[in-house]
Amino acid sequence: MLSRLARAAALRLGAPCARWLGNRAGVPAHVVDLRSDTVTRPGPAMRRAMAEAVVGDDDYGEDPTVRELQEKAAQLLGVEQTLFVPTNTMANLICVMGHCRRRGSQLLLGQECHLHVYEQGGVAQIAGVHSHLLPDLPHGTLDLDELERVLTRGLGNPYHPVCELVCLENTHSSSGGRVLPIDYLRQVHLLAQSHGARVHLDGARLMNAAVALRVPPARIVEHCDSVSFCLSKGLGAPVGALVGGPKDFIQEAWRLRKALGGGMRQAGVLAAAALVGLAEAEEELPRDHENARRFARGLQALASPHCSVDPAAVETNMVLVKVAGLPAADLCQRLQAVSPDEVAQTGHAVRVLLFPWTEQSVRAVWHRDVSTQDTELALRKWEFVLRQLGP
Amino acid sequence: MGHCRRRGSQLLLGQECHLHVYEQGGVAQIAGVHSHLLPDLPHGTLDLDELERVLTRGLGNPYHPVCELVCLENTHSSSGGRVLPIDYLRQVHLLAQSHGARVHLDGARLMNAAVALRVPPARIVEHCDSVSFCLSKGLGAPVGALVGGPKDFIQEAWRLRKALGGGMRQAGVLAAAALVGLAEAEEELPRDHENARRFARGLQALASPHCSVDPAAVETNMVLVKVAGLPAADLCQRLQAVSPDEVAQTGHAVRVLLFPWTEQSVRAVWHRDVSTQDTELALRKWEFVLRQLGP
Repeated sequence: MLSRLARAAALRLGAPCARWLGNRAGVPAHVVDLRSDTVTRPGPAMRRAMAEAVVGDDDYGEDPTVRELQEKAAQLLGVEQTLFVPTNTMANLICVMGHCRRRGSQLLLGQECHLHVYEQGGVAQIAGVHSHLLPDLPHGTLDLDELERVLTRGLGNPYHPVCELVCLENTHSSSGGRVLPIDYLRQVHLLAQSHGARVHLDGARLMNAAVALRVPPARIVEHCDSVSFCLSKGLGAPVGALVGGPKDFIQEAWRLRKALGGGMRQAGVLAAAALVGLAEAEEELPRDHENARRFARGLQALASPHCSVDPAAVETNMVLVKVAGLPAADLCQRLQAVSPDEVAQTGHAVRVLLFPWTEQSVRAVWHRDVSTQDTELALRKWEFVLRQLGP
Repeated sequence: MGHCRRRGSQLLLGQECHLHVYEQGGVAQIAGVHSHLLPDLPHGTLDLDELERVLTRGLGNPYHPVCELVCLENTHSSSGGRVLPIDYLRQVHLLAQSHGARVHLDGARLMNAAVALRVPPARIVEHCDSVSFCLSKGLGAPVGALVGGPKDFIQEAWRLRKALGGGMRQAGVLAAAALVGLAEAEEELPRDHENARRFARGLQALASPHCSVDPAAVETNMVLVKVAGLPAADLCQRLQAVSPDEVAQTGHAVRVLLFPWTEQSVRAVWHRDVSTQDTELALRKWEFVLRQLGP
């Protein structure tokens, strides 16, 4: 999920990020990777599960571990069936294709949502579906009056494409991991249904939302007609996502997955890791949220003119930090650099890895590979960098 | 998608090739590319004169789609895992190039072809502009395949993979398995070919009116068996059933799992999970089933 700026920053930093895990200027550094929760690596339990997984040819429906994951996830999400796919991007694309089957289908979605910005325009490029954008409100929601206006405009009129699908994203990543209120979901669903449209939930980080609301994911998904659910982010699995929905929808999703080239063979090796991630979620995710909150409060307490954050807006594992007085990319550069000065002042050499989010903000994402202690070290690094910048 | 970038692109391929039959019409459904089919010759090749005719027809004429790509498949699965001759590949490449088209090689089973020809895969691929290479078949990995080609082609391929939803995260867990498979290929694949040949010869020696096979056509790990006197699906059913009779007559209870290939043929595919002993047991099971069918 690289923004154009992030890519430019990464290129300017001159080396693939993996190589940062080494010595620079002879200073051994501790790395705190806050770029995204996609960077999580499988731990020993996950690796063991992958190595021992009972597998078969999933294309023939013969992989028991994939089936186990799909069944457990269906129960968790409160849907009839789920389908295991390589990525959440493919899960989203499959759902759009599954709902928008006629020529002249239209998709309504928020203009900063992941599906619109970071999925290569696949809904048009691959699926021939027309997008209509709605402005995002600060909480990651859409204006319901505007939604209704668009849904009703041109209803039955042959000049207009047909609104088949509304896409929501929960948690909403570009507003900083915000949780969509369940009542809002209910209202969107009612609105869509009364105008002949369906609702797809991009639930890449659905578990974070469920954990934040202290509800089972099914309570969220019940207001949607399909859901995508990522296993490789906060849940920690190396690869994979799920499509969830009614039985006939999933039957068509199988065909779409096949057409897109997502039908894998002994995918139980991946499903096994996902099962471990799901089992550990209730323990891991609240910790990520607490670390994110702790960091936000700590950053706010530094009261620096260069950085501001609203801890009240930190609802899950993301913190959006506004940057003033220098380009966001420069701040990222300083945060990942180490120097003898830093060691002298803080007692540590810490590389904090971050992507610029816009020209004037950075986004920090917590996940299972960032501990409470890492969070503390990251905060001290920020403090050091901000002090270097002066008033 | 990487080769056929303009509107009105056309793809030329054999009518029984995997890409056309078993990939859900993705080239049209997903990529908007027009297919023109050519008949497959028994060896898995295309008729070069016919290919030339199609490549030249409508060249520059705005009524026709533009032939951007010729797809070949090696080994050729629907003809029974046949190996395309390197000279044929060279000729197709020349023909395509001289008419402004590229050649893509569906190399799902490319290693089987290379092993059968006793050449490095690169000797085959050099006559193509891109290649697909499966890791999850004979090479044994659980998941995965590769796209191969020039640097700028692969750069675009990264974007296409992303758009299709194939960009995975810690995929090293899959790549690691593939590396093991590649390291073992030179030892494993010849064994699969030998087992397939052994089976074909054994089946031919049974001289049954219900099954016929041409051992000379067994070039890699596949055996196509012609079935007469009963539907292919029935034969498959019998081969996977077990009974006290079988144990009494053969001393074993063996389920041989097979797909019918057409109404009158079945396709048997050898791989690393089928040993020489398994091959022998499969042959005895066939013998038993054929004997049950009578003359």
